[in-house]
Amino acid sequence: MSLPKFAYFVPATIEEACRLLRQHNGRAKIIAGGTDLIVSMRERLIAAEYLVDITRIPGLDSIGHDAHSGLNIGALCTHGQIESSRLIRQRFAVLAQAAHTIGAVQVRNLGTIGGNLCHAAPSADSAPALLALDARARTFSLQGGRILGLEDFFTGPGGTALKPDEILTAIEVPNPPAGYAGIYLKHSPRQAMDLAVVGVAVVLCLAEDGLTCSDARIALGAVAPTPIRARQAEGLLRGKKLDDDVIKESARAAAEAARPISDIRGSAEYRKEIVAVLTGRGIEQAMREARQKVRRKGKS
Amino acid sequence: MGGLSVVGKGVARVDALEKVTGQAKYVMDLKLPNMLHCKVKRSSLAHARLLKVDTSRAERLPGVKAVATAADTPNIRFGFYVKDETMFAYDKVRFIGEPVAAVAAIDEETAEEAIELIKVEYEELPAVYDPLEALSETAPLVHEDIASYQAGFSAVKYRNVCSHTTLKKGDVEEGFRQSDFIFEDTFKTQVVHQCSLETHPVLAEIDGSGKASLWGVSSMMFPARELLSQALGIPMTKIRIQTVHTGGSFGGKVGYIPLGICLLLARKARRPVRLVLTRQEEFIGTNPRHPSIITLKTGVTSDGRLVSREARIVMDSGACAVDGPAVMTNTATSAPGPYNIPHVKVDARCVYTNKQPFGAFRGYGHPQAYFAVESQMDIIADKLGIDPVEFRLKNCFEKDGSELPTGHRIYHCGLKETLVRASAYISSARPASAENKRWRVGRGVACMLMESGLSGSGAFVKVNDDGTFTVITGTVDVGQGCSTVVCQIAAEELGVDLADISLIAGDTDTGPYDFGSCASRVTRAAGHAVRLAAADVKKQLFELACDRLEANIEDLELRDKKVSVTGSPFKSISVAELATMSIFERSGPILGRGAFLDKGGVPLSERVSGYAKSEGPSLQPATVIAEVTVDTETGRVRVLRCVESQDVGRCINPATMEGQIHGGVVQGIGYALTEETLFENGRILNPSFVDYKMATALDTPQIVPLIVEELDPTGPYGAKGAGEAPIVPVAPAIANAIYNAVGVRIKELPITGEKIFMAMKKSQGGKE
Amino acid sequence: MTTELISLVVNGEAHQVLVKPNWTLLDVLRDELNLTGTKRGCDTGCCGACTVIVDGKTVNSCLMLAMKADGRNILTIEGLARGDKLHPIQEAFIEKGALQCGFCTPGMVLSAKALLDENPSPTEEDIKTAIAGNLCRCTGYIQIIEAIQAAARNLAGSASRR
Repeated sequence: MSLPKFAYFVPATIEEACRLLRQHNGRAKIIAGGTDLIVSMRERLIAAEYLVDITRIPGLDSIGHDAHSGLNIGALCTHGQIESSRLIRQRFAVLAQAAHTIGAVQVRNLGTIGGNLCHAAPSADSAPALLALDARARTFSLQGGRILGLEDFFTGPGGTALKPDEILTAIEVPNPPAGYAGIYLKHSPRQAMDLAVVGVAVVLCLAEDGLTCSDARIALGAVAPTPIRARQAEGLLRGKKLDDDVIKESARAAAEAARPISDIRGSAEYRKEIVAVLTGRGIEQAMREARQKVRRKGKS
Repeated sequence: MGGLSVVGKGVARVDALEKVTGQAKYVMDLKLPNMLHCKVKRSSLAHARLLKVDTSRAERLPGVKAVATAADTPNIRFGFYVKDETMFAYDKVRFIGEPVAAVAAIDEETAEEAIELIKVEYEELPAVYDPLEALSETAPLVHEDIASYQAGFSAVKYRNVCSHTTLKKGDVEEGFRQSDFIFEDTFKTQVVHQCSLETHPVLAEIDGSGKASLWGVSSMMFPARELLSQALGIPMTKIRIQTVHTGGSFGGKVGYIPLGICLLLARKARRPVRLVLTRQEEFIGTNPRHPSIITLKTGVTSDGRLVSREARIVMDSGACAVDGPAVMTNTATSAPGPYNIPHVKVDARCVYTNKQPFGAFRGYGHPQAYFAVESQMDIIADKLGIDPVEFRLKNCFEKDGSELPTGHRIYHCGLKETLVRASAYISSARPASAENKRWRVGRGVACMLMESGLSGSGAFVKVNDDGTFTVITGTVDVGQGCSTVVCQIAAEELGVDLADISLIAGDTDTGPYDFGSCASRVTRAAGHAVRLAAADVKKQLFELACDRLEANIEDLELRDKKVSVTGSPFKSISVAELATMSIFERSGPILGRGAFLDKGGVPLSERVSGYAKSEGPSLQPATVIAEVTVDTETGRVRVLRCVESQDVGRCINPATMEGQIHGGVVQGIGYALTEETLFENGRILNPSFVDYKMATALDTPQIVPLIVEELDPTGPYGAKGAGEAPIVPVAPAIANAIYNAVGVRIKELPITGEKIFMAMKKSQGGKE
Repeated sequence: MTTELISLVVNGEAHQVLVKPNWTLLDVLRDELNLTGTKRGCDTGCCGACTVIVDGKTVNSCLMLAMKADGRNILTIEGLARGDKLHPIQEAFIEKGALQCGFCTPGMVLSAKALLDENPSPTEEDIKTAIAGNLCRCTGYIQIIEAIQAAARNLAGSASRR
């Protein structure tokens, strides 16, 4: 089926892009990689009379880091860029893992992290990893930019807190404490080219004893109208020695936090169960990795 | 058979070069001057009376050159088995996606816009989606006039049953009385789609004389031409179907309705018309595999002898019969499996519902039957405490002389050998993975026997002036590699290299009749016809050469484009010289002719009724041993290794044969675990590759093909058909491996992680 | 809908094409430039039959608007062989019987090319990952994986001889 008709703008600056969005209020859509938008338009799920291509605006596709403010990922960075970035693989591995599970190489070469977040699918793989990293969304509009916590960014399936003329420009990830570990686990029937039936990201830190959890963040994808944090599950870990019972209890709490629907990809009941399993596994894996880091630090 | 030089070699495919360079042309790559683009208006309701199809606004849209509806056809019902189909719906619509009208316009966008302007008035009728409900006396009737429909076989049909088939041998009740244990299990299989990467394309052009040239992807060109001729009342001399490269078929590329629609539009618009189905249309508007419900009741002695088998089969045919009666005949004959069971009774019904008509897909009724049969074999073996391979060997058909339940005797059957080869391989192999608490590893076996071969094929061989040869057949290579195989057979017979053979195929005007690429028949029937045509050429060359060489015909041999006297290689004459001599001095050009009927057996009439086909002339036995690992906490399955041994008779090309096994295994994994077309009130919920989950390269296990060559003298060089078998035993082998790993028996395909998880949870709950 | 003029380099040749905004790169390659080696299998980025290489990276050309190809360098299957000299990946596909119907082959070969350009000695897992976005319904992928392994060996061999 052909794509519907639309007019196409290629602004050279972010201000121009915002002006175009304001001018065609509600009838314009931003296009970045297009991997979600083109499919949705072809299937007539999303309509747009105007497309504003922001990929020629300079400065939105780089990955930067500094010791003070942390990681800064331009909204136009592709999943391929993120999964292969040395910086991200070494220091924010959970995000590289999540990016690697998206689609396949071709889609990862086109699709952007900004697009993944703005499309706001509950199953977006980047989202749980970023939520668990406590990431923020930086936006630009002609009234000035905002910084939003990512939890506040998502408002529902396909919905974000962005105003019609506001553009997501970057994702900011604060520097996590030294010795933290993060894991993204995705449950899907296939090994690639698949959407998450459940996605779970776990980020945690251990105290110097290598046993007590000093901090933890858990985020869930595909089990609620938006990607969500499982705060109660996190709380059950903090300050505790991570033995099997504690992990099990936290995993259960994560499952309780999930509010999944039943659809062709899985029933609500199954999804809840999988949340518990993946959360438990995520905690165990992150714990092992964090423990190694504590030991290495102790030795050095 | 010693001394074969081309047959039996894994030579490169004859079409490989053009395919790796992107030069190979498929129908969607063809353009003609002034070509229009076609789009089809499809029914949005599953069951409704068609009150009015108003195309006036579409016709007025600038750029629209023709609109066609049922009013443009003679409305003759047609079909392979039951004549219940029409080009366009005209009295009722019977499924969502049924063609109601079609448009030809200057570009696709205009055609799409025009489709939206066609207004269809319906009077919605109660619909029936469940085949069991469709069997009830009070169910809405999908075809009210079924009694009056003609059928191409002695069909038993009534209400929503378009074909009722029975098989009876011995006395099952007596058999159950003789049994120590009786097992009864019901199995369900789902709708799966062929998912050829190329969707159905058609290009149609009508020449000045009114003759239609159709470029399509029909894997059965000649039967398609026959149906078009019937349906549109056009003589066959006015229809020419050609195929170029075909991007996969697996039984799905029948395509006579798209061919007919384009033909009608091209005739109306007086311009060429091209139709390429979208992926979504491919899912909703073509003919995927029949879903089935199969109940097996089996009596067995405590020492593991099968005594009695009663099978009840309900096949969902969808809105038309299409291949249903024949598919179901296969399921019915396979319900006893490849086993000697003295008492057998099968009752099988093919039932109309308001879903898309289901059709042919690799395996043609066997994947459904064997999922049930081979799953239950393991249920029984487990209960009796017998090794699954031993249990099968104890009961399965012998190499020669075993009697099929229909009364036909079989010979040259390598089934036992495939079981022995696969289990010998696996017992000497290390397990594919270690086990731990989370991941359980299991092995499962399944075997199967299906027929191969069917109907007639013809071939011509021409001798070219330079001593090379041109083979003309009516066969169609849908991707499986039969062009390479028939060229190998010609080269072998004519003693030349593959490069000295040129092939003309895929054209109903130039080629002799060929039933098509189906029923694992091409190597046997077309291959045999080509071999006979080549032998005919050889005979004529020898007759010409014997005077010149002063030798007897029986002392001559043909090799390297020369006829020479055996043992005196210097006494020879070139084929080029003979060809020229024949043209100018003897009887004109040398033309070889070959025709072959791959004739099957007739079932005993006192045992069967309502059978839509005869017994296949040859066999294709196979065994799969699958190794899986199951995540005990999520139910997710990974297939680690599949060993498939298959008896192919003479293996003409080991490389393409192994490719058939690899591909069949991976399709079988999809059937077993992830693939399913999901319906809700007749509407498909997942008509795209996002949610129709075919295996990717990362989901592919290690695959070990083991080729058994139990030669069948009725096939060329002893070949059997081989293309369909590889998929058939995969799903039950995986189901059995899952049971072996985690102790849950899933009787409904696909075996999703969720089904396993829930079953494990239930069984643990039961224990607590 | 207005048309726009875009410039792109395809297989080393510069083209200027008038496009409509709602055309994809795939539409331009197949319908305007008549490069039909790039196939349309699903039009939703799920099958990989339309894979081409844009500035060194594989993309689904059905998901890329033609306007986005303005100023880009594109390699399609038609640009891989040098005259009659096939690329080693193409040779290996023929040699290993890594194709049946051939419809996925152009995309598959280009995914392999992008992989080997970046990673000359891939593991089997690397290869599977690189072609996971290219569905094949015929071959079960086994001979394709073998062909890419063979091509990697051949390329490494010819590189070390140099």
